[in-house]
Amino acid sequence: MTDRTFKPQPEPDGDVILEVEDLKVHFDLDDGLLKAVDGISITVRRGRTLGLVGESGCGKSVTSEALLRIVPRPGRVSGKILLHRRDGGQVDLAKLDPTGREIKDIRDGEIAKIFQEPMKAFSPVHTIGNQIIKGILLHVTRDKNEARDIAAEMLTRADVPNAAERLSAYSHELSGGLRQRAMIAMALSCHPSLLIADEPTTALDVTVQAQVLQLIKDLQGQFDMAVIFITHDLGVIAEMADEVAVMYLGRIVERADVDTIFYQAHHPYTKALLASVVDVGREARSKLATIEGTVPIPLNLGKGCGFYSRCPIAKDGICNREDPPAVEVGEEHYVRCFKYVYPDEWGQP
Amino acid sequence: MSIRAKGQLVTERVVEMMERVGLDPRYLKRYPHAFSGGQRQRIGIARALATNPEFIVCDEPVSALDVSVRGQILNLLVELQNQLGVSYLFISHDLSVVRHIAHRIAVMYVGKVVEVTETGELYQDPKHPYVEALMSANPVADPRRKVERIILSGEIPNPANPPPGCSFHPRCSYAQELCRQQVPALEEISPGHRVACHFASELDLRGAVR
Repeated sequence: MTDRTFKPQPEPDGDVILEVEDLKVHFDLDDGLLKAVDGISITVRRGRTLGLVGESGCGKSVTSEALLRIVPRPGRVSGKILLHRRDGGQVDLAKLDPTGREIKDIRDGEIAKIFQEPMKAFSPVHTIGNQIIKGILLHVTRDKNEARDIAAEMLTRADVPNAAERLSAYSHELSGGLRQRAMIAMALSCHPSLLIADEPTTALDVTVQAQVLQLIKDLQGQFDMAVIFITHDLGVIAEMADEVAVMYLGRIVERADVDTIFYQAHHPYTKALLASVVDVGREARSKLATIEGTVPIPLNLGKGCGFYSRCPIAKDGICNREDPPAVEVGEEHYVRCFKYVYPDEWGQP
Repeated sequence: MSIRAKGQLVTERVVEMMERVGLDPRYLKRYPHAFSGGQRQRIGIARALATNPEFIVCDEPVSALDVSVRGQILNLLVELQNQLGVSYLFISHDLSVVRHIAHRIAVMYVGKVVEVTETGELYQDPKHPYVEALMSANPVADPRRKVERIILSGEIPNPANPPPGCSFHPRCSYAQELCRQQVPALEEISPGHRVACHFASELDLRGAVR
């Protein structure tokens, strides 16, 4: 069952669905400039899953809001968010009017999102059927009966028992696991080419989590979707992701395929995260590695590496003077750490 | 030792407790909102320890914390137990965390303990089908360890209206007629290892991956 020599071969590149370049989300607040997302670049391919990992406050969720252009005020989005559309065209989402028609077409139609808390996705005063059908009528068909059939079929595919009857249920009438399935059914009812899953299983019990993860994988296969999976749980990442981007303080500090992240991590933050995992393979009650301090608030930050204040190998005069550039340390493996820019300063690279 | 103190003595004791849980006593006059999640959990622990209890109930104390901070709090709890000899009842849904901290584990399902034994034994040699499914569902932070998951169908039953017989039988792949009719008793199958399953000694179940 356990094969430690197994190294997954990279599959041939799927079509690129989304290219994000130098994405920034800044908030002009009374207290100063808050850089929630500060220049991230990611690529997402059809049928593949990109895992976005990081602790709270690192900018994972704001990134997903930026992709859908639902960043709350006074957030400013800049950079490039290139979506390859179904009709073969391309559109830069960062340039669109966030209240305009085109982004509304794309939202839920081509890019859908599921949340940690499904109560957020559903209105409490409309039946889940009405809400799913509304999306289908907007993006797929104008025929109400057909829309109803599609909604029931999606619920069935999401393993919701008695799907046709559940259409007339309100969200509060469903259990947590069922609500999560209904939200997934709603998100996928318009066959999006990209699904953003923001901590979708964090609030669930392990057995229900296993069901929901399996469901997302199955549906991803059926619809050949790209998935951006946002979580702080490295166990879930190991299971779901093909590629992983590790975020810290609004930046991606390391990016590589999942095997490389877990077995050849380079960035001190990635290493520290992996070392702090409580895992059934670890000796019980042994002292866990920890990262001193907490994630700083990205308000009025000076120049330099964001991890400087907590980094065990930080060097004064190097790490706190300018922002570390992304260095390619292996094939498709990028790290933002001065240790790989000036290896001599740290002795052995 | 009972603590009945006033004024200066109380302050001294509070400072002592803050230091014990790794908080800077200079923050004594701050309000809770001025602390981070991990610091607030330390404050909770300091308060629990302030009266020298012998026994502390820890109800999901690390579930809401980030991984790096969770490590700090778990280390603190282990360290305090080693120093003070307090007992913990540690309540959690996270199998990796309970394995890390607990000496003995009781697994509950719909209001009943279904299996209780030493930690090592539970993870290597579970005897209840629900525990087997739990172990297999726990995500492992290793992309090379591909686990064959037992995906349970259905949901946890409503405790106000549990199924007849064994509460787990509608989701159990080993269930037989007996399980639908009779509630299994929690019986000792080896010293210190008790299981509530009619077929505990017959089933060959898988433990957590190692």
